[in-house]
Amino acid sequence: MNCTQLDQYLDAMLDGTLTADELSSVDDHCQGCAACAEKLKANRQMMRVFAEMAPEMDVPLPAQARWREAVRNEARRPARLNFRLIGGIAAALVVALGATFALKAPAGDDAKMLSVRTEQSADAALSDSRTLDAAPAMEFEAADDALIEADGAAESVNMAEEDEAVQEAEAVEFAAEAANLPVKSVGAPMREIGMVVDDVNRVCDYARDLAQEYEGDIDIQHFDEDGAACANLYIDLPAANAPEFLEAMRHFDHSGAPADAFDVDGETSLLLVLRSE
Amino acid sequence: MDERQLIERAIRGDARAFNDLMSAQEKRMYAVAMRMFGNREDAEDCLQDAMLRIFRSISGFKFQSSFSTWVYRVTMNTCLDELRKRKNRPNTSLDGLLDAGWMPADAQDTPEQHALRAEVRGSVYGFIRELPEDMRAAVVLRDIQGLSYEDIAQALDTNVGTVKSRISRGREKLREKIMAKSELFDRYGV
Repeated sequence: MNCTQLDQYLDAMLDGTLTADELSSVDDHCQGCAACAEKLKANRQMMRVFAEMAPEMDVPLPAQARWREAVRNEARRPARLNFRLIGGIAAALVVALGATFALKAPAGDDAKMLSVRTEQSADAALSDSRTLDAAPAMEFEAADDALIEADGAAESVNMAEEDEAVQEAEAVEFAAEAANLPVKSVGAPMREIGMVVDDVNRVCDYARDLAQEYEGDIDIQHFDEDGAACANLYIDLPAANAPEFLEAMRHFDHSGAPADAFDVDGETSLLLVLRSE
Repeated sequence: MDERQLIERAIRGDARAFNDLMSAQEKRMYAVAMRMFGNREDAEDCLQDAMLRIFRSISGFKFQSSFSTWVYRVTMNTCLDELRKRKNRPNTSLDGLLDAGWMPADAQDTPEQHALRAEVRGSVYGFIRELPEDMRAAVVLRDIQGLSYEDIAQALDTNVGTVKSRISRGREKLREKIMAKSELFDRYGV
């Protein structure tokens, strides 16, 4: 074995899956490599500490008493009468019924306002019910029914004006979703780096965690090419973190590319193209 | 009454059955909370919150996983929700970490050896608490609670590959921290 393989052997040691032959090759390697010998020692120390940590700990008696009391109180809570929820549902139903039985079908802006208000009232009722502790499932269903009722009432108003209101709402929603998408730094230079890896899915999972750790955004797109599993990883990082991020990712590359292929020159927007071996 | 019967009674709102059922789970839940927070006060609060969450949502348990795996999942979610709310900074109080590392003295230990063990364990708990939350959760469930990779994936609502990746990186970071404090750990021995 070599130094780059040591970590997986150390993991296997912690998992108790290392064979005798593998342990022997680890010891042989570490006799000739001081850095790996230190890692092996630290691993054994960690194993010893973990072995002494029991999976159970006695709960102090006052804490036991507290959670049992809390559960007893919860069990006694009046699911039968929940005035806030009843009030919220009633308000939503009144609004829904009012919209259904309006003397004149409102048009234009009035229709938009009505549909928005109806939706908001029902949403508020549902939101109220969800902020209450221990609302049983049936109360959620009743609040959902009120929302559906309100939706139906809004739709019964002049359909032409409703379509316009819906389109406007969808545009707002789309813009909000777009704002939440990972930023691909449109217009900023994107550094593209190709990597050959042994397991595309595993490396993608690693990259996702690593990006989070380095305060970056990541968007992953899987695809096949000539029968090989591939992935495009779009990553945006703070400038200070990009070099370390790439240094960590470089260890998975089996393409033989030189180390400086993973150097960044101020770029914070990266495209890693992974291809399985 | 076996576990399944207790669960079914608890689902029907039987608080006494629930208490009996959870008495068998509380020690593991508390251990997880202690290792995630590192101090008794937060761990006890988390235990209570998790118990209430389980009581409120037990009707949603469909016997598709083991009950203990589901309990781990709710407990860990409770811990992670609280940590994320606080944008947790590692609590460097040694007292709190010693709380987490405390265990009864081994009859063969001298007082100095017992103190050394507690200091070493407290240090490792501190290192664990410095891990990013998702990595910390995976390492605690694997290396201390002893769950399988598959059970951890269920508890953390992710896949086995992601669990293995988080654990591997978490262990790598712990090794680096132990090496940086080699003087203490060399006294502890291997």
